[in-house]
Amino acid sequence: MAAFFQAARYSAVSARVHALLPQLVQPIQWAILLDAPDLTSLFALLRSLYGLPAQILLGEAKPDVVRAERDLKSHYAVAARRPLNLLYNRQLELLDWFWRRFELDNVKTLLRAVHHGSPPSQAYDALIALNASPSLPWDELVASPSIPALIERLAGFWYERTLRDALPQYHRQQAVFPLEVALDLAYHSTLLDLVNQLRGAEHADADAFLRAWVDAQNILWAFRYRFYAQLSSEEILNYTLHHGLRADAEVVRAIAMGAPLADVVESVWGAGLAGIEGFAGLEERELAPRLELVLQRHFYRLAKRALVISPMRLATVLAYEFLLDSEMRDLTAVIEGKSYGWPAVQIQPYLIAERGQ
Amino acid sequence: MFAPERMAEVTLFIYEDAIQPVILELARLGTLQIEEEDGAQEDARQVRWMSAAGTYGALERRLRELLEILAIMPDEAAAPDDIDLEQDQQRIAALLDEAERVVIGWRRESDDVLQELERLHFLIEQMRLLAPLDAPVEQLANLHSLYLVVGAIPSANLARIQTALFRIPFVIIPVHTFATRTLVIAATPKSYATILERALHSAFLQPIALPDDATGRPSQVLADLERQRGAAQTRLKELQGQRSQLAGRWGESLGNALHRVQACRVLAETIQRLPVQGNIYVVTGWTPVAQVADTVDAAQKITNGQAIIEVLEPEAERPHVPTQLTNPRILKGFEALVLNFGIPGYQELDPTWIVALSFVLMYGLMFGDVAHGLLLAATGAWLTTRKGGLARLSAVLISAGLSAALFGVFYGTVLGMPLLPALWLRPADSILTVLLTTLAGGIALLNVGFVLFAVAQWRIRNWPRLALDKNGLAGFCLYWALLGGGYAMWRGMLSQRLWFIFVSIAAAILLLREPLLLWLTEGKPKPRETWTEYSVLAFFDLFETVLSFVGNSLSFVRLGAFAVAHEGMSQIVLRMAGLGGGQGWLIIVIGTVFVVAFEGLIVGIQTLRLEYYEFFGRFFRGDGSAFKPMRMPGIGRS
Repeated sequence: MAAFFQAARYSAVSARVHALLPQLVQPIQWAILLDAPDLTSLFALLRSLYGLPAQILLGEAKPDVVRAERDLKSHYAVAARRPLNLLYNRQLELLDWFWRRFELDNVKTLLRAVHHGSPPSQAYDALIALNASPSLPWDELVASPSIPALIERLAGFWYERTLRDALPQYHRQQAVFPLEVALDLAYHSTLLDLVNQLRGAEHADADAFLRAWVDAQNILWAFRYRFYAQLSSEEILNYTLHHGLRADAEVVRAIAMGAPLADVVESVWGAGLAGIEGFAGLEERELAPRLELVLQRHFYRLAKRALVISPMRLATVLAYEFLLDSEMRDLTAVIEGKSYGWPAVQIQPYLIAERGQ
Repeated sequence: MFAPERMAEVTLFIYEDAIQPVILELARLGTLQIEEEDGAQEDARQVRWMSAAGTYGALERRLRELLEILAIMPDEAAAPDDIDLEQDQQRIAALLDEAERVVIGWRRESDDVLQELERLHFLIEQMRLLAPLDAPVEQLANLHSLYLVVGAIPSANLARIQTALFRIPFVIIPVHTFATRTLVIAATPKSYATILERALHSAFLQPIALPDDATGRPSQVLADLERQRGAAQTRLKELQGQRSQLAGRWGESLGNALHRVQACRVLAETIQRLPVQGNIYVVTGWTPVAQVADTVDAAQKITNGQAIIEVLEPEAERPHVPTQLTNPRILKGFEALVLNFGIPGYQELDPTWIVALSFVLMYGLMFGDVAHGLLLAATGAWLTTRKGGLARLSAVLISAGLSAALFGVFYGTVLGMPLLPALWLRPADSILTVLLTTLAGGIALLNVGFVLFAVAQWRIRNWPRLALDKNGLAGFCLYWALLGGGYAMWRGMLSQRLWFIFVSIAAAILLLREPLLLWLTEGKPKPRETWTEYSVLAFFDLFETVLSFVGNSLSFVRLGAFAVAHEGMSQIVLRMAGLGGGQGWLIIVIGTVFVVAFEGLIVGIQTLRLEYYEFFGRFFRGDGSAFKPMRMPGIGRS
C-alpha cells in the first residue's frame, strides 16, 4: 500500500524527470563536443546544439573559460529546479535545500571577494545567476565593505547566525576558511536533518543519495584538511560531521590520526568502489582529487541505476539531480581540457561518465 | 490559438531630455520588455545613472532597515506620478537622516541592552555553578595546575567538540543553553592547554571573561549580577514601548518614501543599461504586436513626436524572443499545467487548447461516473470561492468532473451502480473494447503530436528537421509503416514483403538521418564519427525510436484499465456497504469520498503523465522565456 501511495505521489514528478532526461547531452553529442578542434568551436557547438549558455558565447572576441563555467553552473542551477515544483512538503523542503548548494557556492564566492577587497562589479560577475525564492540581496551583498558588514546584510537568512558564530575565528586567523567551514557544516548538517525527517522508502532513497553524498564530502574534507592544511586532529574532527550514513566519528578520527586512504575507503564503501585500485603509489596530494572523481563516478552509476530500478520514487528526482551535476562537471572538464588544447583521449580520463566512447 | 502572442521588436530613439518621462510612461503602460544590450559603452551619462541607481539602492536599503526595525509592513502605495530623480533624492535623504538619528540610536541602545542581557545571563549561570564554592572568584583565574576556559559555543558544536578531544584528559560542562548557544566550562591540565584552546576555537567557542570588577565570593557576585540583569530588563521594556511610538511617528512617511525610492532606483537602473549615441538613447525591447500602437503613441506623446521608432517582427530563427500566451481566462488552469512543464518558446506551439481537450477527455474516460463526476465538479466550483494556487485549478476540476459525469452517462453508472441505461458500454463488461478504444485514442493523440512537431518546424522553416527528425515526417512514416502496414498485413490487405519494404525504407531514412542532414546543409554527407561508429549509434537510436513508438502508444491502454478499475473500486465500496448492515450508508459516504479523492488524484496524475511524457515528448521543449514587461514598483497601469 505504501508503495502504491509513493508511486501516486511521484508519478507526476517522475514523468517530468523522464521528459527532461532527453534534454541532457546525448552520447553522440558528447562525441561531437569532445572532438571540437578548439575552444571557439566548442563554444559554437554548445550554443548551436544545446542552447547552452548562449549569452556568454555571443559576440565574444575571445572565449572566456571562467565566464563560460560560471554560466554553465547557472544553466544547470535553473535545470535542477525544474522538477521541484511537482514536489510537496518535506520532499520539496529537502530538494530545495539540496538545490541551495548553488546559493551556498555564491555566498562563499562573496566571502572571498569581500575578504580580498574585490570591486563589487567583479564580485557580482563571479556569482552564479540564480532564480530562487527567497533570494539573497546579491546587489547589496557585493557592495559590502567588510566581512562583518556582509554578515550584517545577511540578516534574516540562515547564513547570518552561522557566520556570526565563526566571526571571532575569522578575526583571529584573518582568513575566510573558518567561515566557509562553518557554512559547510551548517548546510550539510541541515541536509542530514531533513533526510532524517523522511520515512520509509523516501528515507532509504535520500540515504542512498544524500547521506552518502554527505559522507563523501565529509571524507574528502577530512583528507584535504590533513593533506593540504595540516590541521590538528581536534580541528579535523571539529570541522567535519560525525553522523553520516557510514562515515561516523570513528572514520573521521581514523583519518585525523593518519589512516591510509585506501583503508578508509574500504571501511566506508567496502572493496567494491570501482576505480580505487589505481591509487597505490600515488602521492598524498594526488589522492584527494582522484578520490573525488571516483566518488562522483560512483554517484553517477547510482543515479543511472536508480532511474531504471526505482521508478516513481524520490530516487528518480535525486537521480536526475545527480546526473545534471555529473553533466555540468563533465562539460566543465571538456571546456578546461579544450582551453589547454587537449584532444578527446586526454580529456576523457577526467570525465565522470564514459562520454564519446 | 496555438501560437503565442505575436511580438514585435520595437526600437525607440529618444532624446536625452525626454528619456526619463518616456521610461516612466512605458512602465505605466506595461507593454515593453526592454532587451538587455551587451557591451553598451560607458560614458559620463551612464555613470551618472549608475550612480543614481546606486544612491537610490542605498536609500532603499536604509529605508528597509528602518521599517524592519520599527516592524512596519509598508502598504501598497499610490503610484508616484511626480518623480524627479534629483529632488527626490535630496528630500528622501533628509527624511532618512532625521529618522535614522532617532531610530538607529534606539536600535543601538536596544542591541546593547540585549547583548548585555545575554552576557549577564551567561555570567549568572556560570556563577550559579560556582555558588557553592567558598573562595573568591578572582582566585579562579589563577588556578595552579588546571587550565580553565569559560565561553559560549554554538549548541550544534557541543557534541562535536567532545568527540574531537580524544587525545587529552578534559572536562566540558554545559551549564546553560541560551538561544542557539550553550555556556560551557572546559578544563584540562595546564600541559594540554594549547590543544584544548585550539580545539575550542575550531568549535567556534567565544570565551566569556568575568567582569574585572567581580570580586568576592560567588554568591556575592551572583547577587550583584542579578541586580544588573533586573535593571537591563526594565530598560529593555522601556525601549520596546518606545518602538511603537516611533512606528506611529515615522511609519507613513517612511513607507511612502520607500515606494518612491524603489521607483527611482528601477528608473535609474533601466536608463543606465540603455545604449546612447550622441544625445540619443536607444530603447530596444519586445512588445506584443497588438500593443505596438499604444507603445508608439505613448512615446510620441511624451516627446511631442520627436521620437524615432522602428518596429520589426522577428525572423523565424531569432533566439530569445519572449513568449506571451493568449489563452482565455477559462483555460488558465490548463495553461498552468503546460507552464508547469515549461514555457513555450516563441516559435513553438502553445499546446494549452489541446491539453485542455485531451486532459478532460482522458480524465472523464478513466473516472466515468455521474455522481463522482458531479462531486468533483462541485469541489471545483467551491474552489472558485477560494484564493491562492488551488483556485487556479478550479476550472480544471470542474471540466474534468463534468467530463467524468458525461462518461458516467455513457457507461450508465451512478455511484458505481448501473442505475442508468448505458449509452455506450459498461467498462467492466467490455474490457477489450475499452482497451482497444483507448489505444486508438492514444495513437490519435500521438499523431497530433507528429502534426504539431511538423507545424512547429514549418513555422521556423526548419525543413531538414521537419523531413528527417524521428518526430518529423520520417518518424511519422516509420510509425505508420509499422502500425498501419502491420495492421494491413494482418488483415491480408498487404503482403509481408511489401510491408517489409515500407518499414525498411522508413527505417533507412532515419538511420541515415545525420548524413542526409549534413548533405542537405553542408553538401557533404560524411558523419562526424567514422562510418562504423555512426552505424552503431544510429542503429541504437533507431531501436530506441521504435521502442518509444510502441511504448508511447501502449501507454494509453492505461486509460481503459483505469476506467475498469474505477468501476471495480466503486463496486467494492457497495459490497462493503452491503456487509455493513445498518452502517451501510456511512460506508457509502466514506467510500465515495475515498474513491473521489484518492482515485481522482491518481487519475489526474496519470493523465498528466500521459500529457507530459507521451504527448509533449513528440513536439514540445518548453524552454522559452516569459514576456515580462517593464513595470516599476508603485507605478500601476494607467
